[in-house]
Amino acid sequence: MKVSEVPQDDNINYEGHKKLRYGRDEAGKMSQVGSTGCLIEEEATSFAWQDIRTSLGNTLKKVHAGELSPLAYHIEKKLMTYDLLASNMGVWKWKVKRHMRPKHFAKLSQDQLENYASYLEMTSSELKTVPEKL
Amino acid sequence: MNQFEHQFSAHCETGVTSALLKEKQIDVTEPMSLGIGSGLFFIFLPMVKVMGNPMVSYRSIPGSIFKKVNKRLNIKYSSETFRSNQAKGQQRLDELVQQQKPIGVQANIYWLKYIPENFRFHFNAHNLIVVGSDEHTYKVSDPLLEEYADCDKRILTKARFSKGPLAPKGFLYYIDEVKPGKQDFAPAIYKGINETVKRMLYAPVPQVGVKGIKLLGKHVSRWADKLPMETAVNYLSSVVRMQEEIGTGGAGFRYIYASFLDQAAEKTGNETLNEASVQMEKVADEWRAFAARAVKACRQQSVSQFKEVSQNLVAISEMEKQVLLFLKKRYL
Repeated sequence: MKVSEVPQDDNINYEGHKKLRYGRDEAGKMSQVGSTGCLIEEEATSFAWQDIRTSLGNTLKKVHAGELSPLAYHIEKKLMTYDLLASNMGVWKWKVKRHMRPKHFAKLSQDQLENYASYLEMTSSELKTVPEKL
Repeated sequence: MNQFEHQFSAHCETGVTSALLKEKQIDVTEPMSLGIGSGLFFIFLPMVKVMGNPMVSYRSIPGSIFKKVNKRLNIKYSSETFRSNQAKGQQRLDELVQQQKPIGVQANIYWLKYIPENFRFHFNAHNLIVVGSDEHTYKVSDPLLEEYADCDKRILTKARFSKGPLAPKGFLYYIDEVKPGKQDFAPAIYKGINETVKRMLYAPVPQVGVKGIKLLGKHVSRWADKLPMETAVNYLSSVVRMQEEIGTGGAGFRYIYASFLDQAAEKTGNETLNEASVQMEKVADEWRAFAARAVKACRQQSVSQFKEVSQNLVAISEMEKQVLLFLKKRYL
């Protein structure tokens, strides 16, 4: 790929940044080129986020229906799973799993709520609420 | 006193390795560290799922590039981990940074707010350099950015002690004093290429190297036949992301490797490596074309296009094999 062929497709995900790519220059050397994006990459990224959003939307519905607690939504929103969160917080996996059920979530003490909220980088009142829709 | 300069790079570990060595007046570029550190690789593990998708990697295991480059150039470095002791890990980093040393650290990229949001996933093996600090903030040189960035101390510590696969355990590393000009590049380049060729061509298991690429090809076709279209789309687009999105310089490191062969030819005066560079660039172009077709197959959800993409991979496997065989016969 020549330097002039290195994609410059203004990928919106780059947020104005560039990524470094490599192409062959006119002197025949591979050289570094700042790239504003590549459509192929952008589309692949969007497949992944579509999938995440669909699944998060389903979880949100379950929270609204009272099948899951807001914690379940926020774990997924932060791209985590209950077992990953458990090992990061040093608590039992089954406990986190239990707190994903509304009945048990309602019984959490303020301290426990703060612990979850602090790891997920939010306030405890944010942790207790979920948006109307995505 | 050496002057550290921020270096914008395609990939985190090769970028960090290069920037740390340049600070010590040793001219190792990003492509050089990929080549000498035998970073070019391929592995496809259909049974191991990463964020729900089969694991594909175009590079060797995280951490190995830095180690190998230093070992092969006879450079001494130090590294430390701290298990779960966050306070000690942060204190030690602060101490080292106070001594004006640039320090490489491993961290979970998800918590680093200066990275564009859509590229932040829970990946524990991101590398960056800490170059300074004040009371609450580190000044960091992240190779994926064009410029220095600031990072909250609490956040970086959290990211350095993130748990899960490839957990960093506070891992930090730095180059000890070295004598510039004492590094012998030719044998280091030889060792780097030798290991890459052997691993890619003669892996004893079908999941690794050129055989792994072929295996991926077979599986892509199987995905289209046996899985719900949604899942097949997720799997295939994840392969493309591993190749193009996560800082590989394009085509899963194949372009950077072509650049390495170029620079290696210059350093050693060996014409063969120039030829190999051009061939590797062609392989990279094929990988790029594969990515374009794969994304199209996903968009159109077409089984017949999945089959074509599968054939592409088999062809790429053969092409890459030929380049490596060329290196083996003519250079090694």
